[in-house]
Amino acid sequence: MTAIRWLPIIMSTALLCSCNQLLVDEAASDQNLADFDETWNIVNSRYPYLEWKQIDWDSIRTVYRPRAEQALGDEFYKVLYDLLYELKDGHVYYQTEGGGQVYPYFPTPRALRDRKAFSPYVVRKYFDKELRVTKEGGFEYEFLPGRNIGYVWISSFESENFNLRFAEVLEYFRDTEGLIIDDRNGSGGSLQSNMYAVGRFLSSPIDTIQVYDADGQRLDWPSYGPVGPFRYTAQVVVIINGGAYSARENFADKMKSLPNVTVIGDTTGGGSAGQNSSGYYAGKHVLPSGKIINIPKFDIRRLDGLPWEDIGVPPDIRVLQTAADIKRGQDKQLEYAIELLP
Amino acid sequence: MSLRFAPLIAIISCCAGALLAQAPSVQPVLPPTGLTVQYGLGQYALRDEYISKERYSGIMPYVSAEWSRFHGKWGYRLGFEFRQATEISNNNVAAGILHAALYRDYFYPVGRKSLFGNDAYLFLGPATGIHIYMNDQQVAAQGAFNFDNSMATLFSLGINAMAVVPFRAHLQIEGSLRLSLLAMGVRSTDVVEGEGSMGGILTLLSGTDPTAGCGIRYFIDERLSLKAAYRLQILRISKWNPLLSVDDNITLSISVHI
Repeated sequence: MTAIRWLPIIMSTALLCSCNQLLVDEAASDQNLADFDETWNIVNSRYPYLEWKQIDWDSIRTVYRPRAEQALGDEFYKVLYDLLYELKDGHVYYQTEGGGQVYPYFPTPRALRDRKAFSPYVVRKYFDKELRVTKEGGFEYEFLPGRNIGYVWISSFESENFNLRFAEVLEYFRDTEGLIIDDRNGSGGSLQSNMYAVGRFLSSPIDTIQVYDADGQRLDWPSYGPVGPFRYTAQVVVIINGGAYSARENFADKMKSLPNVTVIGDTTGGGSAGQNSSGYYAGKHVLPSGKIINIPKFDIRRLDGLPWEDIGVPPDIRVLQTAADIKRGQDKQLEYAIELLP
Repeated sequence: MSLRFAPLIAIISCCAGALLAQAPSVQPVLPPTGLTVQYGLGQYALRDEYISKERYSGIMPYVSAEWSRFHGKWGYRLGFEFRQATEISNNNVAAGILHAALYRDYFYPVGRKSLFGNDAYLFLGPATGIHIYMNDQQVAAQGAFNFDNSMATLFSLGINAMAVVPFRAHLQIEGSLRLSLLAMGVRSTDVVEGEGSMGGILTLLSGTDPTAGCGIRYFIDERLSLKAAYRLQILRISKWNPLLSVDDNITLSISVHI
């Protein structure tokens, strides 16, 4: 009798424990295969480096399409991850529904290697006072102790008011005998920032920049020209490493061509793919399910005519530095740069 | 949506009805105060549209510790609850889920009602809390550069209600409801595109986290009691990418009435 009295309670409890299933629906649509096909087609027709990287995109389709076919629900994200990883391009990513980006191949191997081979905290030890920081935090800069030499670390080429802040930094160092530009381990950024930064050191335009799309068609590209109130003509050392990626590499490559500039350190990360934010060369594509992928559309070249995709931009003088050096509190690349300047 | 709740309400009513049809004899402590430690286990389901529209589900434990006092005319409750699981999954994609909350509720006696022939002691008061929800769906390989972790935080202000129904010597039924009415919320948004603000005010309609519970307490003696309960917690945020999670637990707790 007692058992019967408690039976409704036990049954009710069991039912209550299913509330989570009642209230949270399963997803209704499954467009994984359509998403896969769309992704494969976009890369096949528009990605500029399949040949440069010797990627057999047809055979990749035969491997991954069955996986996409079998994937249920969010398992497709893993297929997408592996598929896009095959491009070995740090600019390629996909987004979750809410916009969280996933970069399958970033950091690139050299960026990963040098992730801890630079530290702004170690750099600060080489100064006898606190480094100045621009308003939005895009630049850290100061004179080297007892020297008429400036040092600036560009933490990002995409910071707000980049041109204005870079102009402030150069004004501060206007009468110096030399300048160290630290291009290591920060964010990439826009072409406009890049052109302004390089333009402050130019006496004549660089109009030989080659940019191609996936069909091999050369695109019209703005030339880099002198900009700003004055041109910095004293000796410049640019420090690079594997953590310099994308726009940072472009900066190093263009600076390298100038007679008063020496680039030291280690080869950059290797990402020369570009894209527009909208139009035919837009990187972003919405897949049938609503997921978004980003596939770069053009190939920007170094001044020697090669893409720096994968191979990076090598320094004029190689100065190796490891995470162990930084752990010991030593920045060999910075020390070398200081020695190079008068 | 409201139809979905109909079976739930019906079940709670049946359950309460079955229990309330007992005759009371001894009136234990009202409301239970002191130190309570609670452990629960139950099913958890989540749809976090910052990641996808897919449902993730699995078993998730629940633990909490709570200190409460009653000062004759009013009482308070200060508690911490924690839930964590690594195998909440959608097919073969696992998600690590972590929820933590720190709350302080105040309660005031608001009367005694007759319920199915028993006295039901009712308490009502404001509820404040900080709730942190972190969802780590494994939609990328470990170590990849990604922003696929989803989080939400609520600094909430709401109400809590409690009913205590003594129905037999050493036994009483307890029901509770806590509901956020207004909250300052923080949620993952698209950091690269900078779409909208991560923070905002959440109302009952745009984001709330009701918690309801119903259970039986057995007083071993005046200083010690045990309770078995069903606990349902819902988190619903619609201001940003919608987030809905539902957590049913069967909980066991031990209270030392100091």
